[in-house]
Amino acid sequence: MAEPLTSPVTLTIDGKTVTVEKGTYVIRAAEQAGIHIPYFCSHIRLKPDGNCRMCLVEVEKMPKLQTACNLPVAEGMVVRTSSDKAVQAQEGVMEFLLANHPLDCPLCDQGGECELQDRAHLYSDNTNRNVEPRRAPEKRYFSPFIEREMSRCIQCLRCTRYCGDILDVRAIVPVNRGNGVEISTFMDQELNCEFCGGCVQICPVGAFTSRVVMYDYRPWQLKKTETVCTYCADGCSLRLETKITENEVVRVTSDWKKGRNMGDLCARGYFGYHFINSPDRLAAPLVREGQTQAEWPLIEAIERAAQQLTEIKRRYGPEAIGGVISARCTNEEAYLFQKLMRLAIGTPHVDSSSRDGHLNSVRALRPVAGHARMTAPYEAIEAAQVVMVIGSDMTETNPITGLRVKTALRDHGATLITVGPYLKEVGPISNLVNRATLPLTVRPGTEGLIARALVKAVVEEGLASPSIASAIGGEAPAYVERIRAAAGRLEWNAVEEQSGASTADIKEAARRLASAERAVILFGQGITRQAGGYEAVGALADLAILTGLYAKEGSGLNPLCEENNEMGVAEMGAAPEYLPGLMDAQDPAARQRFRELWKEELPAGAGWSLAEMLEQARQGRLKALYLVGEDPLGGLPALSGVREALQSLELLICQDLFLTETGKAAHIVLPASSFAEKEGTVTNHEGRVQKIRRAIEPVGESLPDWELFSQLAGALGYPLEYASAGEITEEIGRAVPGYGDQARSDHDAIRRYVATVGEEALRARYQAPAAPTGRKGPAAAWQLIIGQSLYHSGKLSRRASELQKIEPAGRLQLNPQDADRLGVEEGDMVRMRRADGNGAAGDVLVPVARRPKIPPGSCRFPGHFAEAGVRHLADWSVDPVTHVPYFRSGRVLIERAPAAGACLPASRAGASRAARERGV
Amino acid sequence: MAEAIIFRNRDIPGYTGSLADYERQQGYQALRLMLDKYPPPEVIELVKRSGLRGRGGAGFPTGMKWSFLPKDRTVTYLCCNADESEPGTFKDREIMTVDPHQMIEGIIIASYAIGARAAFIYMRGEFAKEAAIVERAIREADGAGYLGRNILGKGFDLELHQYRGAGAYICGEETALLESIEGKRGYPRSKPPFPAVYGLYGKPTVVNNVETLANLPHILRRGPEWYAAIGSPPKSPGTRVFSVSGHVKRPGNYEVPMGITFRELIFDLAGGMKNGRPMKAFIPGGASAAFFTPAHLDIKMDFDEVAKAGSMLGSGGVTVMDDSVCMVWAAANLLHFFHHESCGKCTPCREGSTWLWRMLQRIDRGQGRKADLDLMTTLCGNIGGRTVCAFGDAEIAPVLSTLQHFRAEYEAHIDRHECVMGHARRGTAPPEGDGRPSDAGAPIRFVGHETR
Repeated sequence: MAEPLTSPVTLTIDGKTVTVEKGTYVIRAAEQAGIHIPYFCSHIRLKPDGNCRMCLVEVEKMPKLQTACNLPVAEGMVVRTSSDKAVQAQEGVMEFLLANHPLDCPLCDQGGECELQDRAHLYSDNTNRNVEPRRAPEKRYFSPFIEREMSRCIQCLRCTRYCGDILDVRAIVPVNRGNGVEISTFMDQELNCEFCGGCVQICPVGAFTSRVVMYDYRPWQLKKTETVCTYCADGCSLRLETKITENEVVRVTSDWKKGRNMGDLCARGYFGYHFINSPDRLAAPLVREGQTQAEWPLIEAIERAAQQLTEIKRRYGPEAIGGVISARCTNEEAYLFQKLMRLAIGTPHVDSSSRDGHLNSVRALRPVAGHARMTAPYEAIEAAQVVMVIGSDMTETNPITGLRVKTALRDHGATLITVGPYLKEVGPISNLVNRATLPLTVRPGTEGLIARALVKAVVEEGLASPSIASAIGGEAPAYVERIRAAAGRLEWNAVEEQSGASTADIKEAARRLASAERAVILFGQGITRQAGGYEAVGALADLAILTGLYAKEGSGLNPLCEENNEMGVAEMGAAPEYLPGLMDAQDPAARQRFRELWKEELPAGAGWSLAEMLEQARQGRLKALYLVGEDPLGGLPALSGVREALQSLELLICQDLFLTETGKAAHIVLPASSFAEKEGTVTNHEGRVQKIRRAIEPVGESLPDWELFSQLAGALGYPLEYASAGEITEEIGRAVPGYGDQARSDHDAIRRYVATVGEEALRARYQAPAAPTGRKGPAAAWQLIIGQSLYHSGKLSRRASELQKIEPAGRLQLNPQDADRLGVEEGDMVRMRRADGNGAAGDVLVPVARRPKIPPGSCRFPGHFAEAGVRHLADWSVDPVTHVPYFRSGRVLIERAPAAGACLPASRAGASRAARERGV
Repeated sequence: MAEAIIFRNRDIPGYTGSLADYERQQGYQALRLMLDKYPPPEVIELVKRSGLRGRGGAGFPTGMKWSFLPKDRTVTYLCCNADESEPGTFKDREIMTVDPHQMIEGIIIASYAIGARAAFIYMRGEFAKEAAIVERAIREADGAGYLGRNILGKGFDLELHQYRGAGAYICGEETALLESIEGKRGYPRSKPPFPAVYGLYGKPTVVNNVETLANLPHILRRGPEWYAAIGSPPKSPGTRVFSVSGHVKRPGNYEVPMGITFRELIFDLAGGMKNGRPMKAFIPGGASAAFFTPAHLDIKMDFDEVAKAGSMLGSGGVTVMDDSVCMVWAAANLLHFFHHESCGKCTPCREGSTWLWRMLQRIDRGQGRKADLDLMTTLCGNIGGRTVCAFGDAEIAPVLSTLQHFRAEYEAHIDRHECVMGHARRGTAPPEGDGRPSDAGAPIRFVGHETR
């Protein structure tokens, strides 16, 4: 707060002397001095527009009144915000604003938090001199999610400026002229956009309100709880607003001045909260009795679980038990879970859904930086001169981090390099490829090859940053030589042939990256969830070292995480190879440290990852599996053998919010609480440890996962008792040095890495990867990509009724050219099967979506729609080093399905059409 | 009658405005002279010395406008404002039609002076014929080496683009014009920064009116001193083209030296009042200018004299009204225009223009109230000087000036239901199809509320 100003300017506002940074607008300077200047169109997130004219103030030596929102301060300026002349002008504007306003406050959902209402009291004399007919815009259907009432609109254009400038979507614009200005869509069509809810949140009046909770509340009745979104790892702060009497989350809002997101939310964050109070929530435990599952009291279900675990342990030893926790759990829960597994049960087999890609980053980056957190925080992304996004469709996976990239482009024209399979597309969802300075379009699955080729370009073109010597010391030349030797074995023409990218473009990208003062690389699932992901992240780490991203202030290498706490659960030691703090589970010193802290012997031997557990279950060596928030049956392809594995178990315990596919097969199902019902901390991909807070009481008999662990440990006779999640947080603080700190790059780690990374390891990393296995098969085969959708995350979002309305069913996305070739229109059904004829998966019928961004010859399916069964067509392989399972690509055959009548409703358009037909 | 400058070729028999015709009349000689003789700063100096002031409305000194461009600029643009939309003004239209190359030569000169390598003509959307003429002229000039790369072999490059508007009055406002060229909605920008600093695509930009630019070849060719001596020096030199319309015998465009009186323009040149009726009022400078009465006829037509008398020369449109015109109706008519053309960006203009129009319409229909006149004055006070652009000042001018000069006529409507056009009779709706503003075609519906 009290940072010294770099170029201070002193001015006088209403007699008060204020010193602010040069370039500050008068309205903000007044705010700092505690003086309120009324406004409507001004907003801290938006560039000033000066359109509402409410903030007119008197400035000495200026003949006309000035708008304070866009007037920069000047030395010695004398401002009067409440002189007669200024107040008269402000009241004049207020009169104009109210002249046509319907004053329907009693039935307006904005009532009570309406900026017009609030200021009307201060700047209006409560009489209305307007006796002319009032503006009464015709009400037209707008959207099932957003209510538009244009008679209330004060034309401040906050919504359209937000939609255009911040989101880069431009779904809504002002149409018509003068007093007829309305906010509408192109050609007045039904709203089809990213559904971030920004227009609703930023509207100062009730022109845009949420239709989802129309007439359900008055704002002052709601309890507000500041917490962190549970969907992706962007770590957005949001407010859960609840009706206390009904234990129900009524709506989500956010604070424009708070959090890593500064108020920005996406569809998942803003509209995706209905899973919390979903009628499908598990209210009581289920215990299998023969073929059926019966509701049991919680205490008894936990007793039962403890008894059966004890029995298995007695008969087969503790190593016959394994556990996997979801990366949507808190740090406290992950920490306690690994303690439960390692100490109370005594098994080394503990894993988490971080395995699904993120452990590739952890394993590759930990030796370099000491952690796998972003080394360039969001502010650095916004200030970067060059941003490279490799293997990530950020708008759909990490929308709010994606906004940081857009900010860099908008505010100072940063260079954007994208590497990925997707093409340009103009549509309702913004697409970074459209904005890229250098879009490297590559074949699906070859992003990792491009990472290696970029390293090759850097060493061959002599682009290695001179600053690396200072960062990594005397070992630099030898390291560069070793890389040169290893990467030199890649052949440019092989790279071109496999990836489809040109050598010139790759070299240009390397040049731009290396020459920038501030550059940031962001990488996502196209790297971490593709076969060879571990080596690909390693190549990116080399690229970052060579181009000086670890040395240059404001630069960095940033992994993007899908689930909100992938970073945290790995750091908490919910992985067989790591103890808390990412300490090596086989390192004697680390083991000694935790032995002393926990006063208990740690289980010996290497633990199994999820994929290994499934394999061991099939082999009969794993007898019991404890799944927390994980649904492998609903998520993994048939080729993984997951069904056989689970069927071989003697005991399957599922702990979840919902009865999942796996839960239906479980012996015991324990009801867990959602993030809205518990306390704890989560770590976003930046490495920020943020608090989540309890907004409502646990639904039904559910309990937060950590309380269930605690109770189960007690029943196992190994008490892990904590009075609150906060007590666990404290213990984590003692166990993990630096927990909670924002990660700083560990230069010692880099030095060690550079000195020790051997030729053999580098040769393995830079060997030309064989053409992806699936490439074999008939020439007509399509490359299948299982990706993500902006509107979904998986089992939570699928239970969020509003997100389900936006996108109710998965569609196979095809390039329109390809769709034409197949003769299918939007919504027509196609039949898919594996190209190699492996019939295990059978045929799959899905409807088609025509998306220009999908490259010809490829098809993409959003993986959240388990029921479609598309995942069964994917290949299955496991990383030899990190045991990360790869199951999101494959080669498939597609043909038009003969029956046309089997059409599912179109995604958004269909849903809303259906809604309209129902009269919603 | 003094020598014509802008229209010097207009009355030559058989003159078509083609490149050949224009070249025969010393066309593009000024350009050759300039490229041979004057580096850009000297051109700016020449124009400053000529005293030329902008012909679009505000009358800002042209040379000074050019010199506001930042010294360290890399890219500069010139925009020619051909979005002539002011009711009662039709001079640019004739200037472009009669002699399009004169304007193009002016554009090249101005571009050279300010260092612009790309220039844009923003053509009013409704001017289809004019756009075709200008487009042909651009192609001719391009073909003859007056445009494009290395003009006349002197190393100066200029691309000239014509951009057609889509029918919005506000796009004549220079910053709305820039937004429109950028492909955005025609909303005026907040100033500062002015276009000289942050203009088209964020680059330093000069926006000049067609007539202003058309003067440049003559100033270059015949020297600034020649120009500065014409008209009403030192503040208002040169000639101006005035568009005379309304109840006069010979409406049309008249190029006259600045400083003649309105009486000379209206009665000597335009032939005086039509049908022998007496003059009641006239608008001296387009719809945005305050009304004058016959008492103002002897005011000299230069920028400062007219401003002193409380109006402006504006865009040069002189509209004359005889005693058959009801002043309340005239104001209502103009306010219908302003209400319809307000872009809606800022509150006072958007809400105020509609409110004023509805009040005037109501008074005109004989449903006025005593309090309305003071309310209108207050509303005008809440609009003037408080809007993003000058539109707010424009829309209140007809209201305030008619209230000032013809208050009795308003009171007659309110108190006695008297109107020279017979509109204010109690209980009678105005006749259909009399050309008066109505709601027909308005994008939104208005409903009665609290009126009865």
